[in-house]
Amino acid sequence: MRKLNYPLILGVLIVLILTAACINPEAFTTADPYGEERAKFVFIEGKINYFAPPVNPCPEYPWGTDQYGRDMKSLIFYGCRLTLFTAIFIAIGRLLVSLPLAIYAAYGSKAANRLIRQFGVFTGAFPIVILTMLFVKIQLTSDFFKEPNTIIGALLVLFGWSKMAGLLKEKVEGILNEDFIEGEIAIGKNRLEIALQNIVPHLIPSIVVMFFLEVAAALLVLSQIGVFGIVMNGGLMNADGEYQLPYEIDWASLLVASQWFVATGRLWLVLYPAAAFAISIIGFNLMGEGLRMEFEKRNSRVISWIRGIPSFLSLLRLAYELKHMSEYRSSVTKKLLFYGILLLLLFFPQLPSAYRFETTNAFKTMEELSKPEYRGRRAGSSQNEIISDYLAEKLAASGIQPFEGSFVHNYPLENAFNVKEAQLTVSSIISGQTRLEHRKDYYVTTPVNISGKYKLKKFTLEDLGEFPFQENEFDDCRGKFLLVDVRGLNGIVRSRFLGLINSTVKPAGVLYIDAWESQKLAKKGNIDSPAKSQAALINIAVSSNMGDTLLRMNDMDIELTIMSETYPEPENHCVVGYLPGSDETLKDEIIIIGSTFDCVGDDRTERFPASMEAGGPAMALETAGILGRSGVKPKRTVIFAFWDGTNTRDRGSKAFLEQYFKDNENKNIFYIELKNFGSKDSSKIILDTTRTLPKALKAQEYIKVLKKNARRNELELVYGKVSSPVMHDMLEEDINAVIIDTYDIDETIKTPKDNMGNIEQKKLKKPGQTVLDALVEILYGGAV
Amino acid sequence: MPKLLAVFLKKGLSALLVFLVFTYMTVLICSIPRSFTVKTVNGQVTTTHTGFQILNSTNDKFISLLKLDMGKTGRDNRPLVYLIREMMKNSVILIAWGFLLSVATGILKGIIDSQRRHSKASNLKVFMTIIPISLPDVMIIALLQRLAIYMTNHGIDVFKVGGFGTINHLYLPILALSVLPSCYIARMTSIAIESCYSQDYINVAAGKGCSSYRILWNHVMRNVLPEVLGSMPTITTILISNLMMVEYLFSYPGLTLSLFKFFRNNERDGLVLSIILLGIIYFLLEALFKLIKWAAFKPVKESAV
Repeated sequence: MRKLNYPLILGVLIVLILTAACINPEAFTTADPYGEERAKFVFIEGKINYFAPPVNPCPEYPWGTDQYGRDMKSLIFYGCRLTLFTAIFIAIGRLLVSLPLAIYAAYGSKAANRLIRQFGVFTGAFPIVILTMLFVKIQLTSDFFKEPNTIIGALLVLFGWSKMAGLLKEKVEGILNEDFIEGEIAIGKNRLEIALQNIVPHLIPSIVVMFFLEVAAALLVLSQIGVFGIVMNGGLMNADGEYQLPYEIDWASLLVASQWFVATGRLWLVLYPAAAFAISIIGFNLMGEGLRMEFEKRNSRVISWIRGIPSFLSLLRLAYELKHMSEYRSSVTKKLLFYGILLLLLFFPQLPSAYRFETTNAFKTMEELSKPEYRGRRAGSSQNEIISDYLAEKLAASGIQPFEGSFVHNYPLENAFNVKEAQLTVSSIISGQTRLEHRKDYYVTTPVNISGKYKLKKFTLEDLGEFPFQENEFDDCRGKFLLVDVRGLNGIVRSRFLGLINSTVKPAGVLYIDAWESQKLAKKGNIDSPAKSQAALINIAVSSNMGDTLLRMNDMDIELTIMSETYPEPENHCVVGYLPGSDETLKDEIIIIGSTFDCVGDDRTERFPASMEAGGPAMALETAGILGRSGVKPKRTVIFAFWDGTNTRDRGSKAFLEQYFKDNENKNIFYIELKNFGSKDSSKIILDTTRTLPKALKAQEYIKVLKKNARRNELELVYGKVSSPVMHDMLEEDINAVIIDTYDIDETIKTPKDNMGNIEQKKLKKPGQTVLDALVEILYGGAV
Repeated sequence: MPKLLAVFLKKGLSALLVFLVFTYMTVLICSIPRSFTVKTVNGQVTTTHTGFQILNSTNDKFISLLKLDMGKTGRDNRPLVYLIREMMKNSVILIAWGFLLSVATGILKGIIDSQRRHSKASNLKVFMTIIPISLPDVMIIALLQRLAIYMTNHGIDVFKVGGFGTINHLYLPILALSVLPSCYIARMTSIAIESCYSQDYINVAAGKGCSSYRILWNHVMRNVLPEVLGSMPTITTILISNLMMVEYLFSYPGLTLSLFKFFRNNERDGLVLSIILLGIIYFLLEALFKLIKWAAFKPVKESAV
């Protein structure tokens, strides 16, 4: 009976499963790896309890969650691709470095021999993890290799090739001692020809074995690297404690805080990533060892099969065989069948989309909303009322039904204003005049009309004195502006410090230096926030670099002019329409397509057309139009919401959700926010799924549908966290949500550069078609 | 005798040279500033720090090390000699016990493994060898720590899961340190034994009526041990890289734990000294194995010839 090679069988099985997980991780897990479990307060026996991730393994999360609340099972399966890719990259890299050196050394080169030996000694004494750790911190490495996993991979290749080179050298020496080499020399082959035509083909079985063993060795080192906190792509915590998502997940990064996990008894946080490493290392080792056993057999078919691969794949050989078809009929049939299947897989025709997304219509809407007469679509302005009527009219014309009897839902705004212009100059006798540029070097956070000259005095936390603070102790600050440095203070201390200055010190105004750099373009973020109770003082946020300049000056005067406009009796004008679900069992499952049409408003001298920001409503309007005009009734209910007031505290979305979805019991509502689209400088789309609970299975299915259609439409997706004020309102009502936005537009967004000149119509096609196709599948098709 | 002395002297000087190169390279790598990069300014490619600056700083540190001036810690200005007196001592204790345990268990396992020859047992042997060497150290340590916590919760307070001070603190780190090396030694031993058993002189010995016990110890092991000793540099490398993981996860105050602290605080002097001391352990162990191999086996062969 033929002896079964169990190590090879098991190794192949494990490697095949790992390959499947790399190709299609979605098939192995229900949840997206970026969805986060939320911290929550729960009443148990009348007492309030606080629950925060990580979550222990439980029925909802069989493998638990990580410290950020992400589903561990999803992280493992989605992390497979990058981890294995890096390990394979390392193995191939080491092979490419080792092979020529090994052949050269085997030919008798003293330099190559010495290099292999001494490098082995050096890396033996200087562990590779420490070497990697030292080099990874050097700026040049990251500037040169860019991506963290490439840095790690390249360093592990650079420092870890010597062992493989030593082993290969021994094998080459063995081959060089064979009789047939003498024959090759006798017929006049040179060293290079012998290396390429004799040594390499005979080395292939050994190379295959070594490759698999090297992948396993690379994985083992990657697991160590993870423990020591050298992340491959694990994301970072920013200054606000918010976790910045990596584009891709890997196993090593999951082991970053192993010491803390083990010390606090959260074993699953270490065990699952470590087990993933262990299983894949076992798989690759068994495959290598199994192949070695197979090659050692006298009449191994595998060895001739492997040696035959280059010939099988050679197109030149195929052409030759086709020419002599009668001799090679069987071989040609096999090869043609192979290439036929390959081509079919590569160019498999796709079913066309049910509906075509018209970019022309969406582009026209963007042009319309960017018009100068709308003056930058500032919330509370009469222009936004006109826009809301325009949107409502379009929805009605498409057959979309008004929500609760009306398309336009008006909600009061306590305050709405716009700082139209500001000028700020600081002067001192010694340093002269420094002119700060509005929205580049500073922002005015309180809207007043003022023009005057004041003394500017430096003020620190120590100047507050001891508690209780007495107002009369700060008489020398009255009528002056204070220069305060709040960089490095945490959020609570910072707001209390500024609050105390406003309420107790009561100067004429405050210039507080914050941790942001001056902008190249005037950027109109929502920093000009209209406080509910407008502060009595003038608060001005100054950039870090400009703040440093001011701190170096002494005996300063400040000349300030602020011109603001305030809108009378401001209102939000949200536009909401819907298509009711026709399926009795599914109609309560609601998909909300949301977008924001209000923006930051024009200044006196600068226009902020916010054209990319008009991309969201334009895309939503076109999608609503296509679905409405189709006349086909969806199984699930879909709501199209166009929010106003998003750049204010009294957001329209907040008021709308409080009115219609307060204490929402329906757990089957899913929100998709469409943000900015059409930028000619970016072709990637960012998908933020962090606000969807990994355990919300339906929502997770919808995300899968979105991703599937993105692939289908060849839309390049990246993953990350996008800030959106509407998300606060959705989370408040426990609604799972995703955001779709254009990637890498931070420099353009909310600047005058965000205008129609920066928009390319064809850039709307892929995201628009993706959203439309996904929506059609969710609403009408068989999803879920 | 003078010939032997010359050989020793040559080998010693060669090892010293290698060690000095290693030390210089260590100082050089640690002297590259973290902000070092290449930039293009006004169309010209330039570096943030000149090679001359880096080499100067390297040479200064190297010379001070040659003068046995170890430097001081950046935080509390403590002379770094404590690394040799305390940390290196702790690490050597761990390595020594880990090594002894792994040799004892590894050779024993290798002998047992080599006895399984028929097909199923051979497959099983591959599994038994491959699986333990495939387990990441972090997994072994986490499981050992969990086991210790479980035992402590059930009244068996033998193992301490972290820290330093009593002999109980040493059990788990030594165990964790020895798992992988012992598997490697077992593999080497088993392969060497199998190759030995296929030699003619074993058949002759068996034919003469030697017991299997006698064949194993008098004929096989005598030839196997030099091969096992030959693989010791690999074992040393494994031991040292495992040592990092063990000290880190058990918070054991040894050289590698200090190394990580210096790395985090960006203290070059401490970092350099920690790496060099680790290197010294490696080179000494390598020299020791070579010496043992030479002393225990070479003379026998020579006299036999």
